[in-house]
Amino acid sequence: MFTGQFYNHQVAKSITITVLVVEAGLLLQVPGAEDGVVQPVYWLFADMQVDLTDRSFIRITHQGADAGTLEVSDPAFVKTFLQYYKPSRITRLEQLVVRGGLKWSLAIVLGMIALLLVGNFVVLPWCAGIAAERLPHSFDRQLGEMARNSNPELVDTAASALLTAFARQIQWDTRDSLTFVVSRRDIENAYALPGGYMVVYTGLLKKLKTPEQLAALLSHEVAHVTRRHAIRALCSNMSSMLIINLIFSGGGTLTGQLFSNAASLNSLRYSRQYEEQADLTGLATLRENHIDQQGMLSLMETLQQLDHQHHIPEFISTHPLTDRRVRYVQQQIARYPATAKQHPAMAALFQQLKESSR
Amino acid sequence: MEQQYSPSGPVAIAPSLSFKGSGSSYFGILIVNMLLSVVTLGFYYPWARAARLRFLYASTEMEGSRFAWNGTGKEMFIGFLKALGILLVIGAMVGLFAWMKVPFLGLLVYLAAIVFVVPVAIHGANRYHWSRTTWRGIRFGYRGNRNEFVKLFIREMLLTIVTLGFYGSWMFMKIRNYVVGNIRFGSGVFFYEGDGWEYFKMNLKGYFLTIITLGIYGFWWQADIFRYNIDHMRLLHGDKVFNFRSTASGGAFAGLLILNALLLIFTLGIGYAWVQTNTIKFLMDNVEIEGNIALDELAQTEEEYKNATGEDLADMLDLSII
Repeated sequence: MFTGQFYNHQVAKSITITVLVVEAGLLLQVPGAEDGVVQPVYWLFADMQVDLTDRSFIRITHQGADAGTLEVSDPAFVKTFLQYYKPSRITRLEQLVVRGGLKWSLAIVLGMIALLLVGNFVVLPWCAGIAAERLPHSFDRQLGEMARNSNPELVDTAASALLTAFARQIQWDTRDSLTFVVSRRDIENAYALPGGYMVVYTGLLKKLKTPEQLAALLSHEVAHVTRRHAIRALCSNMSSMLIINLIFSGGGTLTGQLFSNAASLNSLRYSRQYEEQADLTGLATLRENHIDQQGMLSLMETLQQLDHQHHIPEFISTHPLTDRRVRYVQQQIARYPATAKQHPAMAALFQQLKESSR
Repeated sequence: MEQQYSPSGPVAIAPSLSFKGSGSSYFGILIVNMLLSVVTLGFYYPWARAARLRFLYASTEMEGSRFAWNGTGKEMFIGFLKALGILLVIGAMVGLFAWMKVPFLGLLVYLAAIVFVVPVAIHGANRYHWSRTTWRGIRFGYRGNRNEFVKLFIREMLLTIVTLGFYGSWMFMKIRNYVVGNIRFGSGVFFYEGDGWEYFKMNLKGYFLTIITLGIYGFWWQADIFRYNIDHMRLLHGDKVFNFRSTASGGAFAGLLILNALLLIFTLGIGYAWVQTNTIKFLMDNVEIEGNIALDELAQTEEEYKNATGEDLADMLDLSII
């Protein structure tokens, strides 16, 4: 037995009545027309509209012949009522949360965060992958050209010819027409633009010790091109941007954003996943060409040693060399051992390159 | 004459107003609203608004009984579509005239739309809003006449434009006198007697003192505005009356607003729900009602009105009605 306030929808008179929660509804003891006469009124759950404001206040409205409103400010009543009143009858979602209390709100906040994380790390990369698949290869070239024009390199023609000759010794499994360029700058870095434009700085060439290292470096960079990592990274950047725009209801044209990103392509940092993929694809290229796979490992070691000297080479800062990556390469080499041949032509070209870079 | 024996004598009573909503319950509602708005790409908005209003009204108590908001998301969604349609038609006409190289006509349509749509929106919003508000099952209502209000609005607007805005205070008061004067609380009638000159002086004083004190007086100005809104309002029922009075001081406003700002900053915005509940609690705690109306005798007189187009138009145009 609970007490509540009853209103008859005719005058703003507050009548205190007793309420009983029964199997399929509520039993109200409403005063009748005559004074002192109490008339029991039965409200079915099915006929009432329930407004659960919080766990200590509930309003129940009944339409029809004996229309009226019952308000009860009693947590015990709310609890009892909700035990009988099936949650499936609650049609308003926010009332389910009110019913559950702060725990539910926090659970929903966590749910939203989870949704955002899943969206960002699973759905977006997936969409980006699909978008990248649909973009034609000509788009890669176009983008690469834009990047090249926005950041022209000082091309060392003679050295570039040597590097091209060196690269021609290797069979590349790609549809792109690859261009190899040496740029005379004292930067220890190399990069590949979409469409197949590779740049190696003399600063890095100077540090390389064997032709296998150079072959490993090139195969790693070419793998970024063949796997279209730049396009994928741009697409996922763009889809993040799209989500942010959607949330903050901004605007802007998508292709405009894509092209505005082109300028920063040569300093693009790939995710760890892309770096690993490039390493593994690079190793496969080395195997297929009978080049010693250890070249990849010794390339990493050489770069790591540079790391311990005065400054961090730029190649390291754009291609973070984690222990995990080294381990991965070691495991891969152990798993797929391959015979290596001598490549006198490559060795000779490498020697010439080294000399020209001095 | 026979002495009427009823519970309501000419004794003065003071019904209490209070806000009982907890920030955490409100937070729950806002979170669900946000989640569903994101998932439905914003289409949940009318339902979100309904849920918010329903909670805020049901948490406000007068004399032991809570207010109720009976509007539904569905009504407001339909209203939203109609309001969107109206705005789109206006936009299309402006665009069409621009395309026909007569932007002057477009501008004219635009101005005419503002002059007509704004008062129509205010009228519709009041009709819907008050009809959907109840206390003890008794509906509020708005009995303003649309054509009369549009005429009043256009006249006052023109006077304000002609006087380069100086007439603004008078316009504001005339409109409020009309709107509040047409609000019904069952058989009770609201009444507002604002005076343009007084309101102008108050705002002028507030404006200059706020500048001189580098903004500090702003809190006291805020308290003055609030007092002006409340103290000039009355509820009449037959020959009986309720007077409203604000007890909020500038200092109290400063405390509230500073606390709210800190709450927002240090919770990175999550405290928004608490900021709102604190504010409403503060306002309710600072309104005193006094008079001799017997609330029990307020009768059901107002019809139901479920067309939310004006409400949504006003919301889209960001006109604050209450």
